[in-house]
Amino acid sequence: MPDWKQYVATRLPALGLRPERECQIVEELAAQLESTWQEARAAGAGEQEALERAASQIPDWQALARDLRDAEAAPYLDPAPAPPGFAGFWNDIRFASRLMVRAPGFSATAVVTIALAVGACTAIYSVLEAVVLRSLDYKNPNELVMVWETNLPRGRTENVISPANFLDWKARNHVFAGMSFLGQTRRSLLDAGDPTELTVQFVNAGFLDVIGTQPILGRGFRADDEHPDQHTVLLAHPLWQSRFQGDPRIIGRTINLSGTLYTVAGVLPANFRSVGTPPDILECASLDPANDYRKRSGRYMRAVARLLPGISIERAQQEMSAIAARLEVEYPEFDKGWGVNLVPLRLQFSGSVRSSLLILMGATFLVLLIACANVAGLLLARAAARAREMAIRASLGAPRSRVIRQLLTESLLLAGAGGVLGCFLAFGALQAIRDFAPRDVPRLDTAALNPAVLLFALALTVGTGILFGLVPALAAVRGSTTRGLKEGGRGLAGGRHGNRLRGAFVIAETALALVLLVGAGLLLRTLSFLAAQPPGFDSSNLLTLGVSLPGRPDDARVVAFFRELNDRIRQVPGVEAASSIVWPPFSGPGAATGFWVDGRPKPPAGEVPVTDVRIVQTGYFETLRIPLQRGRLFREEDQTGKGVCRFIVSEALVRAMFPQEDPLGKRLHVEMGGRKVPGEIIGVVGDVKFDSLSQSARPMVYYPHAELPASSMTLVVRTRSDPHLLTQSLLAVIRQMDPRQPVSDIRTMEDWIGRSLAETRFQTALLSLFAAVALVLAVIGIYGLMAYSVSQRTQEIGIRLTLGALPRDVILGLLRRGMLLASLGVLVGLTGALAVSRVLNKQLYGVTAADPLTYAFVAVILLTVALMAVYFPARRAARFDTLAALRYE
Amino acid sequence: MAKMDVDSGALQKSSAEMIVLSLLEARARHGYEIAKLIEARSDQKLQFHVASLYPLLYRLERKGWVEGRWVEKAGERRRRFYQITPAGRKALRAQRKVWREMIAAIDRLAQFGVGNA
Repeated sequence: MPDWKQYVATRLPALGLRPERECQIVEELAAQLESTWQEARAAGAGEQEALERAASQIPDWQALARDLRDAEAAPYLDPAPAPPGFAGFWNDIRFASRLMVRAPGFSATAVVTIALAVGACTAIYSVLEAVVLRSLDYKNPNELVMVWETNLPRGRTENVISPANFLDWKARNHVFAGMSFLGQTRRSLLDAGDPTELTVQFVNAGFLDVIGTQPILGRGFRADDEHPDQHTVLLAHPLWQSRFQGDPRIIGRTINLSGTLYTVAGVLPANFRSVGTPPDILECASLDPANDYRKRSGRYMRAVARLLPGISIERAQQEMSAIAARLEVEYPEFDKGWGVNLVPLRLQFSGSVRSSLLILMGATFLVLLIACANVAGLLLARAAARAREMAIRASLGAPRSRVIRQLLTESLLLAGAGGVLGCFLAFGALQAIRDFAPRDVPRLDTAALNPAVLLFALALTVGTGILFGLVPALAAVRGSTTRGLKEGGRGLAGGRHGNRLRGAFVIAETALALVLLVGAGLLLRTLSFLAAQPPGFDSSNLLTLGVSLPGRPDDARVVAFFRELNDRIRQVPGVEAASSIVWPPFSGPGAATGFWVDGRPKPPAGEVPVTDVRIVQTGYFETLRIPLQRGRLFREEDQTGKGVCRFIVSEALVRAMFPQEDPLGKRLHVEMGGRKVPGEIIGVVGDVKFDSLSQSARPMVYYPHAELPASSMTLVVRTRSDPHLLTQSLLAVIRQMDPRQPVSDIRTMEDWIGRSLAETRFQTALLSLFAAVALVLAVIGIYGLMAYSVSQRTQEIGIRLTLGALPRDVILGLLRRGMLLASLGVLVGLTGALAVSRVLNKQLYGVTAADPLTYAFVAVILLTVALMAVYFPARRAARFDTLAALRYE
Repeated sequence: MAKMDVDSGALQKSSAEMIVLSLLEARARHGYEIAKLIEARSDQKLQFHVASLYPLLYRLERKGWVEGRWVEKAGERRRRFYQITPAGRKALRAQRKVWREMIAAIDRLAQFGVGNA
């Protein structure tokens, strides 16, 4: 008896199915032929005749193979009219799910690709929604504005305000329903438990009414709380929970803040947000209109106001600018050059991170587009494989709209699965963002996958499914039925048109990936430039500790305390040097004021130059290793507060005011403190950066502490080894001097500097991550296109190799096509990057948005990676078994 | 009764499905048996060669209307038997209804007297 299995196996063309399934089909066909042969033999036919009868069962092996492939690939060939309404849609979903399950590799690739992109978009959107888009938890939040002073000649648009100006604005305006001031200070909580330093915001009684919120417990401030003899506070929710265990009996109790007893009138809601550093306590305070604040103090407060109903912010800005103009005329010494700037409170909260978040959101959309192009390419290839199915359906009367609906349902199901997985990824990503984001991003703790964010994810998923599904669906049904039935089963999606589409997708993906890589590259260079910027001092092994003396100690006590503290700290083993400063570098805003040179005419009001001011103890410059350029540093005899006031100034001040002179011995009038006599310059030190590493050098005047005895200073201690190891020893010294002395902000200087880079680092990390994902997706796209192209041209390559073509020629031919597409993508991407990278201008330092080195580097990286993605399929093609290649269909 | 567009290709295809499902209604059978039954019961008028039968069986299997399983008997090559599923029975009922109505309609038009044969 003939070996029927061998008979079938040698004649049936490869079906492209799983090996086990092909074996089963061969076995089944063999059984059928064997039965036919046996029947013929039993009926008396000879060997040859029986063989012929069996063979006649399958006259055309090619046709059988085609029909078997169709049958195995797509079951749903029935062109019966779709059931109406939901039943038809449900049918499509069931069919699409079966297809997904039967092609697990394809489905997993598409779903994971979409999930990565949707997850990234959703995570960033949830942060954007919480920080920027969500309205504030106040009544009519769009009516709330911050009121700043501006000084354009000094480059200040959001300057803290003067209490005198606040009182005049409040009295003269007709655009605000209410105005409130905010000041900030630190006080020590001295009740049971460790003494703790708290951030206290002092506000007027109407503050809560102005911003439109009420306490959850107790009451808000009343007008009589503003009386100087009244000490009334409201507790912030976190402090109430952590320090007072959420005890409602706190209402009406007194607490000891820096030696003064305050009555707790109420507790603020958990969602209360204020401007500036989140306060632990609101303290009721007042301004006395009889005080001449212009003579007694400068600008140090903030203000918030609520617009009257129907008044626009532009209208209010006009009126406030007019009031400011009148104040300039009335008080030229104080107000010349100063204006008013109104900023919606919502924008104030999101502030500097707003543009970073919008850039990141844009980046995630680019990643999404790349993912869509990738999946569209996959679907096009699959549509090509199903072209025969589509053609048969069309020939049996299935309307194109029905087929398109079916294909779009498949896309939407893939997108839906990707969207669901993406939401899980977004949840994890959000946790990571909250852990690694800069600490002062407002409302970041409230970012979550809430209904608004989930709705966004849903819309994104549906949009994505339509975006990547539509083109392949249209390509699959376009073109003649005959072509689909004839063209080896590839149809329009597999032919030249399909190849051009896939090529276009690859160019688009490459271009988009390049744009993201350029953005990431520019930020990485910015970060490296910034991190390399010298701060002007040696930041290694420096520990800082905040010490604020409670109560209102007299000046002599304050000076003596910090002098003794510094002396004791210097005796601690492991301490190399120690001193103190008010407003240390990188810890936040300090003080600045006007000054002029004694003996020169005082500049007119509004043109007085500005200098930063710091107050230091002896030994400060030595501790931070700030180089002395001329003269000498402070000595103990300079710290008496008597006799001539002595200054140390920065090189930037000398460059500005004494470019051709020796500044030593010269005197400066500085508008700070009570003394009206000018101070003498005894030394010049190197420039130090105080706000950020990108800051350019600014004039600086250093006061000796005794001249301006601040009761709140920051100890700076240089240690011989890891500063953290000495923390407890230093705290012990402070406790020895006063067991109830609170200490705050124990941090190394490198922590402070790191914080100043936190936002840039965070944005760079995220953008780099997106760029890496984009690169991987683009490379997968290129690789997929090349592998598919090679598989489509297997027969042609086999013929060429058989006819004598060298494998090298085959590889080069394929490389040329792949690299042409990649190069076009790079060119388009470079143009796009030039246009788009301008949005990063404000974030860059040390590089421009058109930095040629970055662009060139990124282009080389992308082309190199593309070359590898193109090379491997090309090399595989050159190693084809020519016989197998010729048989391939 | 819904309107029907008469398309010979579709008719032939759906009739083939109905025929095979009908033969599996009573019990499971393998492919060779099905082909022989069709030939016998149609008085040699209809023949299903391998090239037509097996793609059809696999399509029915993919639709979930039949279920195939291998059966091994002593001394014989193992064969794949096909059994109709509940979904297949439902599809068969629907197809029988359509065919009944169509034949009645054609009979009214062409008066070939199927019912009276």
